[in-house]
Amino acid sequence: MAGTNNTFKNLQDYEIAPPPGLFAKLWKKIKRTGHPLQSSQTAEIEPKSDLENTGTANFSNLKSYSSHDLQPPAFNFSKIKEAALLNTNETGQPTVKTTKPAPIIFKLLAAATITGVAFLIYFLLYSGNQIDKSKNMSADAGSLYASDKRSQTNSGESNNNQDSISPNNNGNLPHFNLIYANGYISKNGNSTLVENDFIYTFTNFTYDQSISFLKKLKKDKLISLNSYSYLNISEKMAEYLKGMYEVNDKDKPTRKSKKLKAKLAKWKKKDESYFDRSLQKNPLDIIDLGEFILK
Amino acid sequence: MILLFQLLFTVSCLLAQPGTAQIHVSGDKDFSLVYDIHVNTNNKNPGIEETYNGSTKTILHQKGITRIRMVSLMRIQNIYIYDAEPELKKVIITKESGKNLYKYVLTASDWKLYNARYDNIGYAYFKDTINILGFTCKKAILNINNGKQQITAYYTESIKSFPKSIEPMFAGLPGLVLRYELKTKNGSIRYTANKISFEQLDNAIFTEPVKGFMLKQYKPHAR
Repeated sequence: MAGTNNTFKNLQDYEIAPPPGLFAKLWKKIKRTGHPLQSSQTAEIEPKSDLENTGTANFSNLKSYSSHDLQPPAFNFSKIKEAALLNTNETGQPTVKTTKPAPIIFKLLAAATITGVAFLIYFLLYSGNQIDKSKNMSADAGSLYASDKRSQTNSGESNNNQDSISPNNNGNLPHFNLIYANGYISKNGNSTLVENDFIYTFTNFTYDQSISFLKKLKKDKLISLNSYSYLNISEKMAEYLKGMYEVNDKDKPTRKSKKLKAKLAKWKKKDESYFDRSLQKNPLDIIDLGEFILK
Repeated sequence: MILLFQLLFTVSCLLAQPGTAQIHVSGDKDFSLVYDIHVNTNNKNPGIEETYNGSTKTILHQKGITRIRMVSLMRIQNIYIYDAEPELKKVIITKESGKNLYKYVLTASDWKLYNARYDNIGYAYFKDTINILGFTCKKAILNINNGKQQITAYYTESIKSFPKSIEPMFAGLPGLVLRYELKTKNGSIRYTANKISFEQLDNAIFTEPVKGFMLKQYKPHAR
């Protein structure tokens, strides 16, 4: 393009010379790395007088120096950098140390280890498997039910709970989350109604869960399953449940607590015997229900 | 001017009254009704009745199916009623709590026989009224089983009562029952409507429970 050459020529007028002595210092350092060609070159141009005073002269000498036979060495930035970082400074400043970056594989291993440990801690603390000093009242008091192998998941109704975590349309039973006074029952903020059975769930709370439950029961006695189904715990029942969670000085259930649990188990068996053996009585019918509970 | 003002005032009063036209709840519209169940006894110490005190009974309706659900401390029980109108197809009764889940399937004739005790109900109407959820409700006493049981009901004429296949006890009343009570010498059970809604319901609510439910053999009988 026209005028381009003039532009570059004009730029030459704006060139700025490097600081005095810089080039000399660099050549000196490069020479020390032992490059043969560099040695031969520096032998010609290495100044014998003070470096700062002859730096500019050396630079100008290099400008005119050219040889068709001898090609200058390829520009080697890494060598220059290395040389510049060596502890050869006249003022004696400490070396700037370079550290090699850790291989990425070690970083991945470290991240995986941390994640694994975090997951393990979460699993142990919040899965319900008490392996440390947590206080499981149901184990001490003796569960209402003989079997310890109750499934913690998936019992109850079909996907009719609009608030269920995993609604589905194939008849599988969803989880119910107990929403108590706009918050979850247990301390960690999440609690599942085991087998859709309130009595079983409440009688098998851990110590921490029972404390949290009683605390919230004091404020509000409404327990929601979803927007259409909820349960109000009556005052008498709240007192009953409170008695059921009593512990002594050694954090063991009291005798009263055990009696209340046993009584609840007895009621449950009586209820099942009355309504579940046949369809002769239907608890959804006010007359059948009244005959049972108002005897 | 004064006459015009009076006319406008009268018309606005009439329009402001709820339920001037009877609402039909068992048709094509989605409908839900929640009753709070309150049990009252003279017992000082809690008994088994306290496990049902505070329960709820919910009636959920969508075109072609109605579901009645009770949630209590003791159990969760359901009735699914298919095609109550014009002709009932089937009824499924389920227990959906605890270790042993079950269901019964009843035909239309089975269901009719099952509720035979509500075929001859004596109704006594009274002038007493109460307000429930903004609806003026009138009092009626139902004599069942030749007066062996008495139910006190309050119904609103603004909403049509459920057909007999859904609520066999109240089908003969001129409106939807929003409160009813059974009293005995030992105490009482009262159902009071706490929520009425015409919001659209999720179809999933009405899915028949399948997995995990033992199908029990039903022997037709009258209670």
